[in-house]
Amino acid sequence: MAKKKGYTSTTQIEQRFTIIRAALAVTVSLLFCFLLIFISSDKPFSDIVTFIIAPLTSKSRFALLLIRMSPLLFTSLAMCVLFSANTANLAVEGAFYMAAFSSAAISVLENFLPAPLHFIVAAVCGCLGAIAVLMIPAVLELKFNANIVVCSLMLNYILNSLGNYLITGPMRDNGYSKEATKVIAKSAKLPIIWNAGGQKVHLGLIIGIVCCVIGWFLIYKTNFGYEARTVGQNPEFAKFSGINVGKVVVVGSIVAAIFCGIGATSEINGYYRRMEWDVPTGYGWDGIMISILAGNNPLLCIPGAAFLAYIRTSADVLNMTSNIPVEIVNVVQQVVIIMIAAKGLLAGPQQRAVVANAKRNAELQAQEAAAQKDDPAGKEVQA
Amino acid sequence: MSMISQLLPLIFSANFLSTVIRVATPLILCAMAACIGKQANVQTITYEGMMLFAALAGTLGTSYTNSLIGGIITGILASVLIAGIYGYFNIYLDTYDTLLGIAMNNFSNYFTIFLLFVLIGRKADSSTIVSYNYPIIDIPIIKDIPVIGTILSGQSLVTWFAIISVFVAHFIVYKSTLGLRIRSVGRSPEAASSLGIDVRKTKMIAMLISGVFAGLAGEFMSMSYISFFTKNMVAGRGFIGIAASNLALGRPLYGLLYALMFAVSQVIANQLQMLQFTYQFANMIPYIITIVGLCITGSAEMRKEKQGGKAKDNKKNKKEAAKAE
Repeated sequence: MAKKKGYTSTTQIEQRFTIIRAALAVTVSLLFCFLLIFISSDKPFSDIVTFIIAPLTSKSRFALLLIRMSPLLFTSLAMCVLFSANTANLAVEGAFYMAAFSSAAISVLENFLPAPLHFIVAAVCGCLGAIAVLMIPAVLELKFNANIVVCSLMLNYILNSLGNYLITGPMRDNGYSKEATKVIAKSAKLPIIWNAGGQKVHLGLIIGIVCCVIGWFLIYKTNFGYEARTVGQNPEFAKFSGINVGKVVVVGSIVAAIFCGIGATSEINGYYRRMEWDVPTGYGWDGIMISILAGNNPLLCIPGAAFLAYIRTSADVLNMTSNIPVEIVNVVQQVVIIMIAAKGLLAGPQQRAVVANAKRNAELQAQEAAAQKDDPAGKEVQA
Repeated sequence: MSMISQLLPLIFSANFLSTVIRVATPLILCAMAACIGKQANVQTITYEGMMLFAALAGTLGTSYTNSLIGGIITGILASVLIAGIYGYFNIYLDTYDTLLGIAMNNFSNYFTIFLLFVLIGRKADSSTIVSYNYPIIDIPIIKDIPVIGTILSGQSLVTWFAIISVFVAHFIVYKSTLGLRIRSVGRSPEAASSLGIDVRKTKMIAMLISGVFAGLAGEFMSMSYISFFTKNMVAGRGFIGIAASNLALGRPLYGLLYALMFAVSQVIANQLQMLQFTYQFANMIPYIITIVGLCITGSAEMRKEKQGGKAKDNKKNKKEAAKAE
């Protein structure tokens, strides 16, 4: 499509409003957060200041922010892929959890493989675990028309039990006081890229950012991405234009699972000494929030994950310095999701903007048409 | 095998049935809530959140108002409030229901912990404050009859509410003007609105009614099942209620049956745990059965649609054949 000067398309206005809505959601939820601090704190003003600037006050806190951010990149990316294909597969939470187990099964082997290979094999194993999980709701929906949302939520409960069984039973290191697997082998560990006062930022952050770029390329620049987005926007249209909806859902689930697998492996092999998650981590839910905030654009997941990691770090600092519970961030997170998902919010102003723009475009066209009539030769010269 | 031979006598006992009814109580109430929602075609998964809020508000309500009735009302109001917020965002602000449902559920999960901490300084449970529970109903004469007495007598008041709720829900859906409106809005909003029914308002009313049922279900958890609130105590029961209403296609009487079926599976799971069956696997059973149930209804619906399509095709073919003749 040729872009002419002075014209604004409806899509552009919609995009603008998406951004405005995201900004509004973040602002409102932060205000809500301050309100909660006000309710629960005995020194609200200093606590609010801490909440706003805490992660920037020391190197180690900033490093903590980066550590927090890296798993979020992967789960939000996975959700982007799934949501793009209009698949509300919420088993990402369980997939991330299971991937950590299946990769840890390889990672704990001593003298297994040399350094980079060991990690890669572990990650592949993690991906297989995640694929096995994410395929269940996808296949059940395709084959049996089972409600994917409730199915995947039920699956998460099942995997919670399964993980608990694994870590207290077969995979537990009995020589260790807590419930955890054996120590991750040195050859499977990810290198540390920045050590700030004991907070070690690992390579997983870089891998996550690279994956986001790959994810962006996949969704916006490949055939699969185009098909997935078509299915996401209008499944009926996609079906009639010959896109195999089932295939898109399956491939989307596999791709999302691969990101989950890499993410879980990086997180365990980068940050932890042993795999010690006895309950799911919640990163899957965080991924949902970030991908919505990012409008399913993997590149925007990077600032989205940074935002969430920022308020998480703030809440952690507050938890140590005052009597405010960390749950405050999870509450705020849900408000962000609700505000952004509310399509009706600002629908009036958006409609007015679209109408005003259409009128202006029509006027511009009329002017141009008039100009062309006066000077028919001008057009030929331009051409 | 020995486990099964140990399990069977446990299942065929009056105690088992009495436990099933107790465990089924929140599932039945939630299934009724979900049935009314389903009839109005408001597909929400927020019953989980409503129940959780009601559980907390009920317990705190009895403690602060120092009366049982006060707690019951606070709990139901809390649940209705959540239903109202959900309804407002979903029906009036056109918010995508899955996302909204997840967000509201997680919101409830964390906000109840937040409130608990702010109000009584604990995150795990409310066992430190004094709160009232629903009374246990002992029925005078029936109590002494051997099997029936064990099953019927000594159940919580909420359990009786749950049984009544099935008939109330059935009455609302099938015998009242409101129910007719709800069903018409659920089946065909365009037709309903052409008849002058306010579609959004009707959906909202359905949502608020289901909030009352879900509220009772939540109160059962913290005021009867156990005697205080613990974090995340609903633990998927809302989803099981939804699954029951899905299996029942929104019909309350069938919803009761499916809720009982889920309760049976849950009690068997509990019994298995007592017999040294790995408890994590026993815990999975109700969820696995829910998924199987969803698959069965899903494929039944799919078959129905296909048959519907075929029937239409047949009609078309016949018409065309008739024309050709």
